[in-house]
Amino acid sequence: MRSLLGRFHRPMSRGLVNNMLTMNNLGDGSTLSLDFTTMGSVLDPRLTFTRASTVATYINSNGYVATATTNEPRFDYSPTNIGEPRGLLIEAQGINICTASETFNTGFWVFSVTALTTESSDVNPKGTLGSISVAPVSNGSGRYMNAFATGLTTTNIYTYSIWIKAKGTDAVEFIAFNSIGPINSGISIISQPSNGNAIVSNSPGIAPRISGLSSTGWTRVAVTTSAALGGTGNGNFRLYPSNTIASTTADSIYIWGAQLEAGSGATSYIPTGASQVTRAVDTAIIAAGTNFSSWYTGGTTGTFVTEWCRCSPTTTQRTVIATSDVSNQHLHQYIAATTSRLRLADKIPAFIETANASIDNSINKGAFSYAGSVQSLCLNGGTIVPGTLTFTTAPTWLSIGGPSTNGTSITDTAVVLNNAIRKIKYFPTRLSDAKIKEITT
Amino acid sequence: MLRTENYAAMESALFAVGLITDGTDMYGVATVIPIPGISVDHIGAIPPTVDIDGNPVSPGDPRWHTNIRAMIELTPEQVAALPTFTPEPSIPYRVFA
Repeated sequence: MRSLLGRFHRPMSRGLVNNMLTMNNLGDGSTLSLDFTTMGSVLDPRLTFTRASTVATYINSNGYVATATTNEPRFDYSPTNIGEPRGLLIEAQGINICTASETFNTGFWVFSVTALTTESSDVNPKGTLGSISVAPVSNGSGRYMNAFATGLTTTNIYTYSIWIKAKGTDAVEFIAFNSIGPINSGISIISQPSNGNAIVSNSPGIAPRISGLSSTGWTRVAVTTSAALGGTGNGNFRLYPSNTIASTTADSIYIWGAQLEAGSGATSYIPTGASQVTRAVDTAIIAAGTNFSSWYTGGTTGTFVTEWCRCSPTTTQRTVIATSDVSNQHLHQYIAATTSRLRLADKIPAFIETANASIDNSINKGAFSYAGSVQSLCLNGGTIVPGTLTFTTAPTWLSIGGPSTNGTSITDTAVVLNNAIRKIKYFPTRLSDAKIKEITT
Repeated sequence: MLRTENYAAMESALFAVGLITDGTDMYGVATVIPIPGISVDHIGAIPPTVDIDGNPVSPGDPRWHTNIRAMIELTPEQVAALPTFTPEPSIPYRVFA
């Protein structure tokens, strides 16, 4: 059996003599080293992980959509580079407004001169048999499949996502409508096969288009409204096989796993049937007690180094880690809304912010060092930002991917990472600016 | 699914049962948060169902609706005090996964 101790870097589980010699030092001076990309399917036991959903999905090591049950951590993998670990998926509570997300057979779905065909021999993104294709039933314009939602919040941006695969055509156009008429939206490719060469055009615009879709593997696309929905709360998200004006009966396209959700990016897929479905928030906390105090030995001095996946800018800030509550024990590392710069905030909250931004669709590394109310912050080896934030009392817990003011649950579910956290390290000393620049490069 | 006349009544009911509590967000601003082990999804009014042309298919319900998911055991008294209703919808508007 592979050594769990080695994987988890649990200094307190070493031999007594060794432990005394290292004084919780993992060899590089750190006393906590969590690598979520090498944990397999077993979470470090010092973390308390909860999610109150019987079903939540992620991408498994084979590149397929897999489901996790209640309180099961989701170790996410790349859907493109099969087997490449992304880390521990931490997402906010989310809602798939689409019903019948795989069968498209409720009143939510409206078909304009198009029809569905059951494709029982096609392999869907779960890696099992069965998908659906949609195609015009006659040649002409205005052939589309429409996701039709009512009761939407007019001040929200919405994202419609779906897996598609070329069949008779390798192109799709999308148009989003509010209750007044068409509105601008943009397409982003969430994933495609490693040999995929899909191209997005007219995006953002009234009719963004994706072409060159793979016929051998699935491409997950997201269509995001360029601004708040507006109108009176109705939303239509139309998928036109081939294009809006000259479709033919040969222009069929495979479809699977539709999702409509509030926000400027797609989250993990939430399967639905006759009803909308809510996925509960992921909570990962190293709670107060020995699970925390065994490695957090620096008092008001230390350095945290973090690594996380980043997909695209969002209109909401995204937490990487946070210590304790909003008293004098609080340091909160998060990605700023829209600008995607890395911030470190205290209880007030005053904050310091990097000049450089997180990189989209990439792995990002951040670090902050502190000795009381003197701090340094660095993102991806960029310019060090000095700070004088208020931090006067040693913290007693660490929340990961979301903030917690009570030490047991995520208490602001709007600012959750919504991505995968890869690594967290803690040093009980304030590393030099040169060092944190080096280790985040 | 729970139902009250409006959001304020729902919040009062959840407070009274002890499923939500006063707290602060990360800015120190007062807010209401579920207690650990409780997830809350406020749905609000159920919109009427209409077809693509705007023709009514089924009426909505302007009252306030909320789903909760409890990962802790609720007492019989707590359960009894929740603003549940009958008959429950055969197809709920929204459910927890």
